[in-house]
Amino acid sequence: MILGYVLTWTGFISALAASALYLGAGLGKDSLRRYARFAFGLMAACLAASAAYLLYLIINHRFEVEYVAQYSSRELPLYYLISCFWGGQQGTFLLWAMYGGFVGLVLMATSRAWESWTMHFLGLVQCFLLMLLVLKNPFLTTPMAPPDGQGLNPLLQDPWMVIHPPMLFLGFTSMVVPFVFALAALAKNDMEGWIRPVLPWALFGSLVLGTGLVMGGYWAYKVLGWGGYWGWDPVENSSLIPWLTNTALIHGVMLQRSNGSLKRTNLLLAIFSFLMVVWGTFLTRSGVLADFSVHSFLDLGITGHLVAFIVVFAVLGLGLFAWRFRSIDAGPAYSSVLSREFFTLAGVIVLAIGALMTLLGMSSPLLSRLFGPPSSVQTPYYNTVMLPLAVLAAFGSALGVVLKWRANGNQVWRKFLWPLVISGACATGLAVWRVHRPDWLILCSAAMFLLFSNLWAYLGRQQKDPVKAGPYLAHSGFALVLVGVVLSNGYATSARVQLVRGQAAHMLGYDMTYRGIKPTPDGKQMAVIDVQHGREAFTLKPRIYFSAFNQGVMRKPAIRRYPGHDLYVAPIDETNPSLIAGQMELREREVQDIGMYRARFDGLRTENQEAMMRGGSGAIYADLTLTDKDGVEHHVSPALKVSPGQQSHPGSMPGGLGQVELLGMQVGEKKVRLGFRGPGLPPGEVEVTRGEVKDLGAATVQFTGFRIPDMKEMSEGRGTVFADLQVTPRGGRPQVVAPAISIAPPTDETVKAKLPDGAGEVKIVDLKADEGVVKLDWANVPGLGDVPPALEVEVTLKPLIAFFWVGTLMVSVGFLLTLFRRARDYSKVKTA
Amino acid sequence: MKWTHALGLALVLGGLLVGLTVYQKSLTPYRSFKEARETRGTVQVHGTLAPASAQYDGKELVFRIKDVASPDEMQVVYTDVKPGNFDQARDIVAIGTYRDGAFHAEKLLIKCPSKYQEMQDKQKKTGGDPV
Repeated sequence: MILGYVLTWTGFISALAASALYLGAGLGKDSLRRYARFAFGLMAACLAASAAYLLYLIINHRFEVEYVAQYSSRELPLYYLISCFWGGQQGTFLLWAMYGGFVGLVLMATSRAWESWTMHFLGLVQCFLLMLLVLKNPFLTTPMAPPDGQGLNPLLQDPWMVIHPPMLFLGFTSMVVPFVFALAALAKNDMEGWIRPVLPWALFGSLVLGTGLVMGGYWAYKVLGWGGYWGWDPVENSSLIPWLTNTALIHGVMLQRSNGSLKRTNLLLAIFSFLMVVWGTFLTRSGVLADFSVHSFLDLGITGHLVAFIVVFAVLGLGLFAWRFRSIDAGPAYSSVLSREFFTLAGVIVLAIGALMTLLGMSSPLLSRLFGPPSSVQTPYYNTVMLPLAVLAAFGSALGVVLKWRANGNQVWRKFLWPLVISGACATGLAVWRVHRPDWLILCSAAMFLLFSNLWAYLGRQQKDPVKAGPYLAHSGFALVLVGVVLSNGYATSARVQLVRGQAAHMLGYDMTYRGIKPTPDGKQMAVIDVQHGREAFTLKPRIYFSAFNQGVMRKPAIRRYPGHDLYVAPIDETNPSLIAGQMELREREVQDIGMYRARFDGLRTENQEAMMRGGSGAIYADLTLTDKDGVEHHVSPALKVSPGQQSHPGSMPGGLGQVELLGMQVGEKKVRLGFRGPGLPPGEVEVTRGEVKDLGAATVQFTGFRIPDMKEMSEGRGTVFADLQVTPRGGRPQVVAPAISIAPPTDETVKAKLPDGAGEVKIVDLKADEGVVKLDWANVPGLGDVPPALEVEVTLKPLIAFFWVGTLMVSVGFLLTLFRRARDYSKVKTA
Repeated sequence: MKWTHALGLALVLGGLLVGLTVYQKSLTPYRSFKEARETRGTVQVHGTLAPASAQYDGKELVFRIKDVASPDEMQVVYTDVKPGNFDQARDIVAIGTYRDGAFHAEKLLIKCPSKYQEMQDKQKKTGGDPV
């Protein structure tokens, strides 16, 4: 797709230009800024246009574009077609780069005196992203457009997956802004001025990235069926680490605003947040974790590029930092322990250690290679390390919220009296109820203390401006998250049970009756379970079906939410002993029993054998005689229908030299393989590269290029490819000869035969015509017995899991309010 | 203020030390089958599924895998729901411990031949152009 190439290359060149021109402006030639702005704007426009174009290609099923063929298909509804955009790596990089363009435009409009330097560094980052797009262009085409694409993984066919990736990538992109501000501060040697403009951006980053993370967790909980929302998988960790460092930066910036301390720490945190995004991208997308993670991506061959990406920006950021290190003077972080300064500093440290520990865990397969066999760490590691950090974070932020900046009088303990009493009472209640594990009880108590301290501190304020409620809301949300995590994971009750169709089973206070498997509107299958719970009656519909895309059984849980707990029903296995399925091999005249039938294979019968041998269309039938239990004979014939997938159209050589046939082509390499038949030529095959002249004795042949007359037809999976040859007979004139291959969908299809009872089916899976052997696949054959089908499910009650979701929502709203407040502060200040 | 600095530093360093110890303990190294039999802790093994060796009774999945590096086989026991894509499995990474003559897996990573690969193979056969 030439337009796509033009757009990505133009974008790349404009990014280079913008970065260079902004560097000039930063070094004092301010007149260059106009041109730099234009170049950056052009880049952003190119990226937006590329994204729109790729989306257009996906929605219009242009399968000649490899990316479209690989990640989408005709059957998908519009909103899932949109999520095909980021189904593959190239699309996610395009999304990232496009966001970078938008973020840059906002930065350009708001950063005032910081514009030149921040935009210069942002332009550099964009150069790298665009280089990835140029190397791995999503607009790469293939001359053999398949009739349909490969489709979207059914796991991703969920509304949350339409919105989770764009959110997450916006979060990744926004991490670049604190990074470029830190670099600009180092370049300008101004370690104070960047704090005010960077704060709204850092808040925006944590808000968006955190929200994206939680959406991913919610999707996992709803779709994957293992019952959790967080698994410490490398893909999750790679987004958590920047969130932690960036949230540490927010706290550090607040402290620096208060007393001018932590200048170096803040610069480092801003630099590392971005480096961690790139490191996580490298780990999860280069294939290095392929043996350790369930959903790390395939290796696209961009490993080297990603390594360069990390190295360049690490050297740039840390090099600038080292260069300015001595000239940074920062004051002491706190003057008394009982002050907000001290606990804010503690918060920065705890968040940074959390990030470091997660980084260690995530990188272990690489790190351990240095000392011995590659090893990964399992979830217990993360849980063990994070629990004490969470306790410290909860307790510290409770004190930090209640105490004031700088001066706190002698009567400080009074402020904590009520929160301590109330949370102590709650913790006692929890202990009596069932939280007996000391570490979990301590964590819950710390979380309660945090919750009530926040409530207390907010209610005690003179002015209850809701915009200033952000920090209180976010910290309370964090407290609820902790309680939700402990209770829903540690105190879930769960049972596995076989639900026999039509028979009620009582479990965990619910009466469940399995009603059977029914089709869903979107062509999959679900189990229907009627549930009675006290006076309430409802139906649960977990899904369980075989997916051709994943080559496996897909299971999706059904969830019933109550204020106090979730009822989580995950299907495990559906058995139907009365319906028999299976494969069997039969020789001619052989008899075998299947279910209620005695089957005899009478032999193979072909239609249009002649044509089939020549590559034309035809069919092969396997004739079966089925005798049912009443002794009645039925004849059924499953079949394989063959229709030509490709047809060769030979070209006639001039001067009566015979025929030339196109045997194969390598479009990428501009090569064809030709076969010659005829009186004047030695029979055989020749490979010719475009432009090369082959001497065949009686003539010379030059391959001048491929020709596809009807690209539109090609995109529908039909059409013809010509190879243009210039043939010059010895002593004659050159002539154009064009052998061709025409392509049509599908090559062979299996035709099932219905069994006389109407439910069962039989189809051919394999045949050895020369031995007279057929392999049959039977499905839903009624058996002789009468055992009702059963569904095995895992039923789990997850107490107070709503705390987790509500808590995360509160954290997001808290960030949002604070973002408004700080953005308002910034826009009010007229000086840069 | 010096004592608070010292205390804070001690806490941070102590925490890091504890963290690193836990980290060291919870590493699950990749091992050959021979080493896995001799190790008592949790390890990872990587092998290919021996054809027609899998049995599943709804409670327990038992199968054999062949070592990738040596002509060695080992029985694996997995007491959990059979993974949905197990029937198409080719390569399997199992994490767990070896005891009582079998490898007891806590976690399985199933690697399937991807659909894309099959497409490529098909194209090669028909003389098409796998780009």
